[in-house]
Amino acid sequence: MRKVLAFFLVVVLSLGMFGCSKPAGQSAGGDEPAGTKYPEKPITFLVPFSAGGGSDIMARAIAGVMQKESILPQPLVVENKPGGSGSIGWSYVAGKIGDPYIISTVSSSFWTTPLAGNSPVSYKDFTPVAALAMDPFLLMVKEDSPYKTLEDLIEAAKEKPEGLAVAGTSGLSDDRVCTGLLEKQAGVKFNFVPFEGGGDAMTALLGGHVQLCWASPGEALNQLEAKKARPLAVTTEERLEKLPDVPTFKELGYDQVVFYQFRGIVAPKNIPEDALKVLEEAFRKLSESTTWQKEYIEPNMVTARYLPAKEFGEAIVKQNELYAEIFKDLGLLK
Amino acid sequence: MKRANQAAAFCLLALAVYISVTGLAMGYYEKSAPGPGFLPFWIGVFLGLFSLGILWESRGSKDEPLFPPGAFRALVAITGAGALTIWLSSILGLLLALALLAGFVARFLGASWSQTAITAATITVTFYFLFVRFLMVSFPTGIFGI
Amino acid sequence: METLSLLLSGFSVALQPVNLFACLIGVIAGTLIGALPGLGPSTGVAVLLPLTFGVNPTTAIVMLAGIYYGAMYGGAIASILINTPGDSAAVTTCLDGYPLAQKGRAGAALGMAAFASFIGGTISVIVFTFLAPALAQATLWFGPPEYFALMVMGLSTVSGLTGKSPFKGMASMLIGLALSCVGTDLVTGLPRFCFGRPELYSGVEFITVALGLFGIAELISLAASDAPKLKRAEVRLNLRNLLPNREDWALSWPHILRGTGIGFFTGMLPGAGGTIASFISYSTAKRLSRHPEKFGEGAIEGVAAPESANNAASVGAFVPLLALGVPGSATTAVLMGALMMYNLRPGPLIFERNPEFVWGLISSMYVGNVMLMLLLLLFIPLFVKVLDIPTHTLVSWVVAFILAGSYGLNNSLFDVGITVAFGFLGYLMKRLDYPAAPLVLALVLGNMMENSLRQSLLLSHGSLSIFFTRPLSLVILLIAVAAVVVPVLHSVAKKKPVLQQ
Repeated sequence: MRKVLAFFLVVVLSLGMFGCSKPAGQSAGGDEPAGTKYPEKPITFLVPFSAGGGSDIMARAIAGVMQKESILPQPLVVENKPGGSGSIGWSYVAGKIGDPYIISTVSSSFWTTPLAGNSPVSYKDFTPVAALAMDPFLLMVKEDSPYKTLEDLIEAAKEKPEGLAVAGTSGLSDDRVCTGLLEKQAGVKFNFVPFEGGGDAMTALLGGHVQLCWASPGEALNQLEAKKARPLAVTTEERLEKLPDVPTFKELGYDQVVFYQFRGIVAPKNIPEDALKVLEEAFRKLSESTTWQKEYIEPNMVTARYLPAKEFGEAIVKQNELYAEIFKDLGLLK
Repeated sequence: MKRANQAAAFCLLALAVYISVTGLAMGYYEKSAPGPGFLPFWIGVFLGLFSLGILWESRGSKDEPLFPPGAFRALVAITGAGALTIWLSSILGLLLALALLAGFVARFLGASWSQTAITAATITVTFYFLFVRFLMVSFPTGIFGI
Repeated sequence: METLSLLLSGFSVALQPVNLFACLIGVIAGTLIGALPGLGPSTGVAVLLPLTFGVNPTTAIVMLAGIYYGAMYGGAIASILINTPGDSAAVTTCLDGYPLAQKGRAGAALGMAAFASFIGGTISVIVFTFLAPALAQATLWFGPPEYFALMVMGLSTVSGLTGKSPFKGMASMLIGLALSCVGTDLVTGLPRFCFGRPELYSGVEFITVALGLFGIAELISLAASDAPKLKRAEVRLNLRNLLPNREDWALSWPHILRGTGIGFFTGMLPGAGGTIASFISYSTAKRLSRHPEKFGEGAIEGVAAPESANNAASVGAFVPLLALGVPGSATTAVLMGALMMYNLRPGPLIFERNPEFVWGLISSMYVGNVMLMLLLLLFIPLFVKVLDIPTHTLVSWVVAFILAGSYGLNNSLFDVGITVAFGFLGYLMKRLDYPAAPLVLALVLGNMMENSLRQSLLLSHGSLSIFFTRPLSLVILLIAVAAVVVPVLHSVAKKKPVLQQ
C-alpha cells in the first residue's frame, strides 16, 4: 500500500512540474472578461453524430470554408460526440451555459429525440445562431414500377390498405413524418418498414423488396440519372431547380405534404450578445460565399436557406410543433 | 470452481428472469410483427435454460479456488486503476490520467522507479502527439490545461 | 478487352508519383490506425479527410481508400501480438493469432496475415475490376428475409466457437444477443435496457466490448502470471522462422481462397461488412479443416481465413458504393461524403463520367496491396520485438493504448468505463471457462438479425412463409441448419464407442 501511495505522490509531483513547465500562454488568455475581440481562441464545433454522417459533412465543410475565406480570425475545430441519436452531444453543448466557444449542428433529431423522451435537453436549452440549409424529401419508386404518377400510387394504395411497403429510417424519423402526412391527407395507409439508414432503404427499393422509399434530392438525382429509380413528388413548396420535372405534392393537391429538414447552428444558452452577433455575421458571410455554394450546397444538393438568429429561433419552435403534432396523430407518442 | 460455477449460474438465471420480464413489459408482439420485447423474452428463456444446464453440469466438478495466487490482486489492480483513470481524467485530464495509470500498472508489475517514471513520461509525450495532435482526438482536459 | 485498356489507363494515373505517394501515406496511416486498439478505419478516414482538401480528388480518394484497406492489414498486428483487436474486423484474428505468438510463432502468424491479406485483397480487386456492376446487381437480391437468413447462418457458426462446455458457450452467445438489444429500438424508436443513460441509446459498441473482453482480460492474465516476458518459446530471429513455412502454406491456401470469396461477398452486402465476414470465414475454416481441434490453440489457418476475408470485404464494400451509389459500411459512408465533396457522384454513371477516377482508384488498390505486404514483411522483425518488452512495460503501454482508443472511438468516457467493465467480466469468464468469442459474435449479428426479422414480418404482414418461399433465403437457412446438425451427428457418431468403454 505504501508503495502505491508513494508512487502516486511522485508521479503527481513530476507531472505537476511537467504541467508548469509548459508555456502558460494557452490557459492564461481564457479567463479574462470576454472583451471586444471574440473569438480569441478556437471555437469547438461539436457534431452530435459520428464522423461521415450528414451533420458531420456539413460541419467539416463549414470549418473548411470559414478557414479558406478567413471569415473568423480563429478556426472552428470539429469534434464528434455521437450517441443517443444526438442527445449526448446536445446535452454536452447545452451544459456549457454562457460559453460562446462551443457551437453545434442542428438536424431533425434535434426535435425528434427530445419528443420521444430520449433526451434530457430540448430546443429550449439553446441559443439559435443561424439556419443554413433545408433538405426536402422525394418519394421514390423503382424505375420499372407500375406507378407512373402519384395518382396511380394513391389509387393503388386505396385499393389495398397497407399493401404498399415504404422503406424509411427508424420509426421516429423524417421519413415517418412524410409518410404520415401523405397518409393523412390522401386517406390511405402504407406499410412503413424502418431500415437502419437511408442507404439501406434505397437498396431495399432497388431490390424490389419494398415499393416506395424517401430520398434526399442528391440521392434521387443519382438514381434518376442512373435510371434505377424515379421520384414521384417532392415535399417542397416549389419545384426543385435541379429536378424541374418532379412535381411537388402541393401542386398535386396535397398541400399538407410540405416538409423540410432544417440544417442550422445553435450555441448554448445565455452566450454574450456580442459573441452571438459575431457568429451570426460569420454564418451570413459563409452562406453568401461562392466557396460555400460550390463545396457544400451544390455537391450535396441541399436547398440553401439562410435565416438569422431570431427567425431561426421562430422556425425552430414551429418545427417542434409540427413534429409533435404529426407524431401524436400517428400515435407514436404516448 | 464448483462454488464459483454455481454462483455464476445463479447470476445468469437472475439475469435471464430480469431480461424476460422486462422484455415482456416492452411489448411482445405488435400488429403483424414482433415487438421490441420479443427477442429479449426468448433470450431470457434460453439463458435461463442454459444456466440450469450449467448448474447441472457443475455437480461433479471439484472445488478448487477460482483464482490462482496473485490473480485476484491483478484483477482488482488493473480494473480498479482503469476505473480510477476515468474519474481522474476529469481532474487531471485524460492524457495525464492515462500516464498515471500506466505508471501505476508498471510499478504494480515490478518495474523500478526509474522505469515507472520513464513509462509515464514517454506515454504522456507519445499520446499527446499521436492522439491529440495527429489523430485529433479531443481528450478531456484537466487543471493543467492539457 | 475494353476493361483491360481502361485498367491500363488507370495504372498510368495510379503510378503518377503524386498518387503513389498519396497511396503510400494512406496505407501507412491506415496500418497505424488499424494497429491502434479501438480506432478503426472510419475514424481514420473522417479525421484525415480535411487534410486532403485542395488536392486532386483522385489523389485524395486514393489516399483515403489506402487508409481503409491499410487498416485491415494493421488490425492483425495488435491481435496477434497482444490479443487486442486493432479494429472490429480483427477480433477473429485474436483467436488463433495470439496462441501462435505464445508458441513463438508470431512472425509466421504476422507473415501469414500479410500474405493472406494480400491475396484476399488482390483477388478481390481483380474480381472488382471485371465484375463490379454485375455483382452490384446481385447484392440487390438480398432483402430483409435474406439478411435474416444470413444472420442466422452467422449465428449458427457459434456451435464451432464454444469451448469445453456447450452450455457455457450458448450462455455466452445469449449474453451477447442481450447486449445487442440495448439501445433505441429501430422500429418503435423507444429505448430498451438503457437505465436512463443517454450514452446507451445508440447501443453498446462492439469494439468497446471486444477491447475489454480480449485486450484487458488478457492483460490481467499476464499481470497475474508473473512471467517477466510475454514470449513463451524462444525463437531465433531469422527470416525462415519469421515467415510461414511450407506446411503453413499447404494448410492455409484453401482457406485463404475461400475466405476471399466469403469476404468479398459479405463485404458487398450493405451493413454486413468485414467483421461478420471474418467470423464466417473463420468458423467455415474450422468446420472444413482436417484438424478442427487445433483451432483456438494456434492454427495458422485460423489467421489466414479471417485476414483474407476482412481484406476482401474492404474491397467488396466499394462495389455498392461505386456501382449503386449506396455506402455498404461506416467507412464507405465517410468515403461517399468525401466523393460528394469533390463533386464525384457515386452511382453506375461514375464509371462513364469519371473513368480516370474510378480506374485510377482501382489500380491504386493493386499498388497499395503490394505496398502493404512489402511494408509488413519488412517490419515483422520489429513487430516481433514487441514480445521481448518486459511484461511491466508492455502491459502498462497496452492498457493505456486500449483506454485511449476506447475513448477516441466516440470521444466518450462512458465507453472507457464499458471497456474496463468488460475487462473485469472477461477475466472472470476466462477463469470460469466461458468462451468470449460467441458473445462478441452475437453482439455483432444480434441487432441486424432482429431488425431483419421484424422487417421481414412487417413486409409479409406476419407470415413466416416469407423465409421459405424465397429461394435464396431458404437455401441460406438450410445451410445454417446443416452447419448445426452435421457436426452434432458427427460427434454423436464418434462418441458412441467412447461412451461404451
